Amino acid sequence: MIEAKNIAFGVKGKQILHPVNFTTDREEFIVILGPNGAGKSTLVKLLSNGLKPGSGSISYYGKELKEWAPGDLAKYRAYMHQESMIASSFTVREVLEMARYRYPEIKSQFNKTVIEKIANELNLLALLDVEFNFLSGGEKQRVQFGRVLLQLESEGEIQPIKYLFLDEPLNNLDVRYQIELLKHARKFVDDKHGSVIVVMHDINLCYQYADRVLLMQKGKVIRDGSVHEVMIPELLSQTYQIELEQIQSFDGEVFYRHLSYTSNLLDNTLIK
Amino acid sequence: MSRQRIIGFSLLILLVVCFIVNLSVGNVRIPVSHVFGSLIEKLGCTTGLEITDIEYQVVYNIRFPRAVYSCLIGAGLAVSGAALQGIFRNPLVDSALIGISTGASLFASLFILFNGLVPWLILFSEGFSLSIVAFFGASLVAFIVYRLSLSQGEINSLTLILAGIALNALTAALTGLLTFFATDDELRDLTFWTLGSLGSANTDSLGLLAVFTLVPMILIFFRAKSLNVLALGESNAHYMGYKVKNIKLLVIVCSTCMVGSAVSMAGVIGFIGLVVPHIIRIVSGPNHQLLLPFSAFFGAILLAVADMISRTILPPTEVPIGIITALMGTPVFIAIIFKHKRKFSV
Repeated sequence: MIEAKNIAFGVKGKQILHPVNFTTDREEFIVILGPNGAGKSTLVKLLSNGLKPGSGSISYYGKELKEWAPGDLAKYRAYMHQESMIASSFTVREVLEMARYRYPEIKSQFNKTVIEKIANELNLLALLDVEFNFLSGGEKQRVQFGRVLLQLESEGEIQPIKYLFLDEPLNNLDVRYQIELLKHARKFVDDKHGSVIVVMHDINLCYQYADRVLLMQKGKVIRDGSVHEVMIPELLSQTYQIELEQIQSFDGEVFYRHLSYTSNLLDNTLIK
Repeated sequence: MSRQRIIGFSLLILLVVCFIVNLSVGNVRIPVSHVFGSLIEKLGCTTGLEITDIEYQVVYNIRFPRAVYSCLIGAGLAVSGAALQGIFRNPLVDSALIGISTGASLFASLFILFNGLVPWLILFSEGFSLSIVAFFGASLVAFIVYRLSLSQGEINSLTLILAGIALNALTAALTGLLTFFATDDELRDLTFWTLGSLGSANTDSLGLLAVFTLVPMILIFFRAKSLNVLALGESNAHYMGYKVKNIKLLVIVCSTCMVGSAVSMAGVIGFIGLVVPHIIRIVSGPNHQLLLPFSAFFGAILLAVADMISRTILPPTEVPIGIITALMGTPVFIAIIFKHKRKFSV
């Protein structure tokens, strides 16, 4: 459970995030949506203890962030950056192994098994002995995703809800891997591993995968609720300052698109 | 893993061989059997060998401390280079860049010129006082560089390197000024010192050097995993549960101890800290769990060999060891750059 009370953040007199409350107490897929400069990354960094809030307090499982030992907190929440560079010639396997350094008490056999398992799921087995820096941008992104998943993997039946923060994880990924990454994140939630809190820009993918959406604008959370409560075309249009409409195909799939598109389309069969 | 074990064993054997050969060669040639004999007899056992008193004296009182000096100093310089390159994620960094060596040089120069004016130092021998003053200089300049690099309580790596370059230039200029005022005799001392020499090795300060080298080295060895994680970037390391600030501070303080004591006892010895980690990375990869101990071995080997050359190439004089390491290190380094143009990283 994460509880943030009145957290705010500013640099050099400029308020980047106005005081906001945020609570999550069950496994859920949360997407933070909003235009550039809305404070999405800042909010995610504050919640994940990457930045210290200027005011307010954040607690994990009822314990204030400042009382957590960094090594312990790392087992319950992980964070994936927008960009990934490594200053060394480490191989993919070595990078993944680093996520397991924090679990010296767990038998190395378990560590080996989970690394193989995650590498297999993310289609990374063939890359394990390749140097990380020789990978393409998308492959690097997948390795980093594997690394954060591994950071949270532990033994035992009953586990508290863990938190996976992803800051624009779809950058550099091709269509297939965008979907695969989101499916994985979705599975993380559905398998009761924990919650995913993700900053992303694709409103269609957001609609398909999210349980809960935080819509942000100018450093404020302007709406927080289920997909249906937040992703109203009028509200999105207003927030992004662009005409957006929601359309529904005959089989019930929902899409968002920019209005000016409609007039250009000769084939309107999709639209009811 | 077996490949890594082979490398480890090879380095260890090479180190032992270099150590023994170092005890054996020099102006007085002593057979290897007698070298072993005198060491064993020192431990209280008897051997059937006829070891002369001179041989015993040379091996035990002159060459043994000197060989240990070269190994400790070589290992310390190499490990500090590897660890500093690790925390700054920059392959060009070594202890010279953050002001440790030049700080020691400046204060050593001050001491050489003005030691007559400071009576309290008479408590110690002149050589030992020089070491203390040089060590103080190394720590002071490293501390100033460190303080300059702090922004909001965090060490900014880029600022630290820039501050290091600035203070290097300043201390070099001040040292230059001192050489300008030095008399011929003092100038000779200064030159000798800035070029490095293991000539001052003696059994009295051996323990001190060992403590100041081995304790920080072991502390750094325990942080090998943290240094690996730092390669992912400071922010990632933070999110993975590592106290980045503490790791950086520990590496800087430990490096200052190792390099400060090395420079204060043997003068400025370049290139070991820069070249050794690169060679080891090419041989056994970037993992600090292997890189740090292997660098220690290889640094020790290189400096032992350099010392051997410096003592034997122009008998009976000694060529300053800093010149030998630079002459040995540069061609090797250039060869590596040519061969691995693509692969350069920390």
